[in-house]
Amino acid sequence: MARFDKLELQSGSRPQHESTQSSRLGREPISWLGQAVEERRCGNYENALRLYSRALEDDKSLVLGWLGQVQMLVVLDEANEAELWSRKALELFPGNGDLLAGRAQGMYRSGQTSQAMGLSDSSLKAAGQSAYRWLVRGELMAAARQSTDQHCFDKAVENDKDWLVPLEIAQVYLYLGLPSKGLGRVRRAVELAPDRYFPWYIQGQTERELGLEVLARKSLQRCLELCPTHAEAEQSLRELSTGGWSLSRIWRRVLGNR
Amino acid sequence: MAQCNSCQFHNMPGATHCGRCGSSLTLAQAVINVHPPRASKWAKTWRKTFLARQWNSVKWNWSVLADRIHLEPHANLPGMDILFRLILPGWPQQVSGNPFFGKCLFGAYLACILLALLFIGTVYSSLLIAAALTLHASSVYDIAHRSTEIRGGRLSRFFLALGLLGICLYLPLFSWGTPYVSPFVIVRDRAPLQAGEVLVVNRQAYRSHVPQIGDLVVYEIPETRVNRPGVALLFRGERMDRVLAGSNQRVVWSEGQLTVDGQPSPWRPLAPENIPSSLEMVVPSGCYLIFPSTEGGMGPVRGQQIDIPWTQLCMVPRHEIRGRVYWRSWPWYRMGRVR
Repeated sequence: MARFDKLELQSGSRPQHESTQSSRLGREPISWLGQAVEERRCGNYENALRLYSRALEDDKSLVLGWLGQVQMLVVLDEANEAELWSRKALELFPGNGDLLAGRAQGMYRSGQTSQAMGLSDSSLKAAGQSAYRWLVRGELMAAARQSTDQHCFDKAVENDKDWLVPLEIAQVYLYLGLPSKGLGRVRRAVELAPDRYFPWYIQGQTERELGLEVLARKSLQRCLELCPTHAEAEQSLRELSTGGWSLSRIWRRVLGNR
Repeated sequence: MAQCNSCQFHNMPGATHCGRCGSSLTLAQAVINVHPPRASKWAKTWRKTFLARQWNSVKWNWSVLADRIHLEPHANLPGMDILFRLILPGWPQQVSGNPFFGKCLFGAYLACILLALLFIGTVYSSLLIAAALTLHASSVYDIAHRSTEIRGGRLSRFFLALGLLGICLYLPLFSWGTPYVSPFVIVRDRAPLQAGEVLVVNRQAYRSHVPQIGDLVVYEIPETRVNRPGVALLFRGERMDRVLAGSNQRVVWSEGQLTVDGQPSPWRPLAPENIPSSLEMVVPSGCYLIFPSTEGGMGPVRGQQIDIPWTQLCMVPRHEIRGRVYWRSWPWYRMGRVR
């Protein structure tokens, strides 16, 4: 089931419970949620976090809001807080698979790795399916340098065909220091959404990590064409142009790209 | 019908919690803080540092290793009431259903430790301490064996517990106790001491007390060279003898009788026959008079009578007195207090 479909106001073909849900919630919380997702797709995670909180102020029963907050805290490198918040959300929604996955991700990123795997198992056993649970599983597998990470990420993409899923997979690989594995994923995201600037930016970062400076420059320039005020892309392009050397890059070149 | 937002289950009207997942159905009206906690600026900076990332990496690698060696830190661990009793062998067995075995272990351990202290400084003491440590390890292994079925897990828990006991119990005990129970082995016959005798020295005795007249002490002899044609003597290292006089006291040694400040003294050096028949000196301030009577090489060398600088050798500064001898642990038939 595509995770963002129920947020769009569509007519006719949606399943009954989704239309019931959206009409029960009313327009406002969904619009806040919709805006939060849009900010997330543009890489504005702080804004997305605020908008998720705003949506929850109106309707505290929105699981997606709680989940979105946990996910934003994780990508903003506040893993301890994400784990704490996911624990609170789980008190309200016990056994929710996505929240269990969020807690597992927060635990892993804050160093509590022994329990993260158990929580990920619980999230996969919980009712329902979602791309996020498989994404977190894949992250834990990739961190443990096990080959099943590919399978987990493929399952995530299978569950949700949206371009944000391969993009977030690429971001996970970047976090783990495995840019070579993430390149294929981010290219897929760019293929699915060539008119969005954020996938181009992430592609540029991935290519830069791999030392593919020419390709990185092209990706970042495309990002700036789509969004001329993208400060991070400008900064990255400037750094590429000045041609500074980096010890870590030399080290990776000597040992071989990951 | 109230539909659950978490699992989309349709609940009966009026239900407050979802019948399938237990989520609250009245959350929309509840007063809950929906703003998550945020990390402070310095916390975010710290987490990005090399040290914080390395610490996370160490924690991750430890969890992977613990999984590989079946350490299972949180699974099937004995309770705290058993774990803290591991400090004494036999004690956890007494409360976990095997009291007889526990008493035997504890009794054997106590016997080994007491005998080891009695014979401290000898080979037998080392063997008895090894036996005591083995008994302790057996007690720990017994608990580790019962706590899990996995062989690797048993070994991992055993070595981990043993390592912790070694670092937290035995190492501080030995480090603290060694200065109080320091063996002094007599390597050569030096009348009245025989080769192989082991005396126990308290090297902390004079940390806060001054040496008393009559104490049998271990001290660092003042380094002295005696150079004569064909003969070179060097006096250096630790010696053992009795304190005979203190600072600023006038000492007269004549025909085996010691007089201190005009008063006859009841104390003698250990081997008075090795000292010249007549000596007179004043002990300088901050020093003690200790005759190195058990020192070899005081007699004629190659037919030559050597002029020993007794005044220099006997005046021992306070800080060079290393400890007090209080026990003879070997030979066993002469074991006892030394005075």
